[in-house]
Amino acid sequence: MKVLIVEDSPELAKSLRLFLELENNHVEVACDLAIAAHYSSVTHFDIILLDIMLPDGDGRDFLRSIRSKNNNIPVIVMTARSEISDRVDLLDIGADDYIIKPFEFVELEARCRAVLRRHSGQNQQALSYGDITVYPLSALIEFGNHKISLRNRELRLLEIFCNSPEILFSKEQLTDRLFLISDEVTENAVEVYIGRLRKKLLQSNVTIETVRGIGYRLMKYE
Amino acid sequence: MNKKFNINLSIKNRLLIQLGFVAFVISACLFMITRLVLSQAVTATQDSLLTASIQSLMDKIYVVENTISVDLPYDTFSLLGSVGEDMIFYRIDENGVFLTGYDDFPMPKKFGNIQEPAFTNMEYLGETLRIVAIENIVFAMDKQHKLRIIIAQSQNFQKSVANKISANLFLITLFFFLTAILFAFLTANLTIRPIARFAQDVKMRGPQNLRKVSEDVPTELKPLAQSLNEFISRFRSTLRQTETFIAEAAHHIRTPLSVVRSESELALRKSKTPGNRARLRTIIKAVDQTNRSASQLLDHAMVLYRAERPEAEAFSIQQAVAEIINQFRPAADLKDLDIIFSSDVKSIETVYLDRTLFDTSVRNLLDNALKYSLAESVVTIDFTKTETDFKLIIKNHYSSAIFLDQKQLFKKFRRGEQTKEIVGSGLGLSIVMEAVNIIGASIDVRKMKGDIVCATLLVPC
Repeated sequence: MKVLIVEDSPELAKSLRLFLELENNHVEVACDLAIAAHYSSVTHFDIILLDIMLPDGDGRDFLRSIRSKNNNIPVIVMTARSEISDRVDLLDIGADDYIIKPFEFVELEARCRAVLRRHSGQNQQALSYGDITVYPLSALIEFGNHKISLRNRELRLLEIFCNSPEILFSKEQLTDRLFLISDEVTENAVEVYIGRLRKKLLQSNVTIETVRGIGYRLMKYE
Repeated sequence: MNKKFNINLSIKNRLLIQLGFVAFVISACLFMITRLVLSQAVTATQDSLLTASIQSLMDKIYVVENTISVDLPYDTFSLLGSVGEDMIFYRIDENGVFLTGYDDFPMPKKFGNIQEPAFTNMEYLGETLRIVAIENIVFAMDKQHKLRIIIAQSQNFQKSVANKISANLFLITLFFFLTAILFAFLTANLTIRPIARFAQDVKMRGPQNLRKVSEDVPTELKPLAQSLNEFISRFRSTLRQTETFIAEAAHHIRTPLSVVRSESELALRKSKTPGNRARLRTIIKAVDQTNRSASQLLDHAMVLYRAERPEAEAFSIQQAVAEIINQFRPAADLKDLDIIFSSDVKSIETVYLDRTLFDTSVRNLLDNALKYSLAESVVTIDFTKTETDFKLIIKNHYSSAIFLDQKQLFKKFRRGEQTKEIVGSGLGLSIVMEAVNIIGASIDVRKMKGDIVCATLLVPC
């Protein structure tokens, strides 16, 4: 997925870029509206994460100019303002969603997913490994004649593995990416989801291996 | 001690009272003056009659063979007496000696002559009499004889005429007064119209309307209109500055918080030491707590502000509920919560109330439902319409470890036991309570069997 981040805080932009790149996305950062306008005119992005207060203007004007050109690229506004009237205004001028700073990466990811799901049909990207194909926007896995739906956390877990197959992930790493910081996570929470995924992948040629004392990885049978 | 009376009268009423008072004074004066003139006219008429009668009497005084003879003019007296059944009295004295008439009739102080008779009023036998008196010298037997002749007439007829005319005069004056009041009313209305139009122009404005008022007003109102426009202009500028300040303040507070949070989150993902991970989690939770408290306090301030000035608008209530629910779906996905929304409201139902307060109430209820729900559980939302209300019921499963104290639920900064690990400010439900009170709705939150919390919001149709 190609993401354009329009954010004037270099630190926040950097963190966002790192996070999104960890999820195997291609990210461009524009620190002002001029650069954002240039990027969006020369490249197609799957989604734009747009800050409002930028050094050379208001992000809402940028959003209006995009919409006035009948460009329906998904836009999520990252706003520091939490007033309901501001939120309503943002949706009225064409934002697909908004997220209030500071936000949790997983929430941003969930909102991106929801927005992209609404726009699905345009860029439904699939992840493949072994004989399985994962459709993140429709939360489905496909192998052979099987089509199995996944719950959100199962999907996120499978995405993590499919993005980096055969790579080991510790339980902590998975916990961080699977749960909200505010969630009360039990010791065996990750194991529960690993167990569920294993069941769903039972008839495919991939499985999630446990490497004792280290973590888990996605492997395929030869 | 001076006691201040604050009589809050409108300009129109003040004007009406003043004009009415002036009309009353003019009418009263007119009535009195006309009555006085009328009374004088009636008296003058009576005086003319009395003069004629005394002249007639004088004509009947003869000197025959050096004797003064008076031939009383009964026809004249009868004529005088027949008018309004008035009583006639007369007395003739010669050289101070009673000659004829009523001998006990008192003598007036002043006597005129035949050219200029003297008139006076006097009480006699319980009647007020108009008296004409003359003194005349008659020569007989080479001697001067001073004759004093008095004719008096009661004033029944004059009084009756005066009363009749006064009654008519009173009606005419009353008509004049009422007409003057009507004109006063019209004048007050006409005078007040530009002010009323100006006031209406200001009154009809929505709270967000900060356009200048029209300066097409009477000269006297121009300074007010100009001052108001200057005030609006300053207010708009201050409001813009405040909004910009709040936006910038939020930006400058929340952006660094975002950096702290995102950096901490990235650090957490890379950290392998349990101690460091615990510290980073604590930092992130503190940031979340700060952010949440700031948002809730802002919401609370907004609700308090709107308590004074609710901004009612017409909107589709089921559409508003559906939009809010859709905005919460991604957050629900994070906990694998299923939101099941059902509604029996088919037609577009428009309500007229403060949408921001309604949104705030529903958002806080949903936020609570999602926050305290067990992962992978179901949150059901039913939206129905009764005869009097729209009913929104939100049910969610919560951890049985959480103690739900019904009495503390809506109190500020009070949170349930076993909820300390869940980020929250304890303001959410108190904000809901205040918001629903302002919009005339009601809220009930109660625990049900099977660890279900049920929040019911009733919004009047």
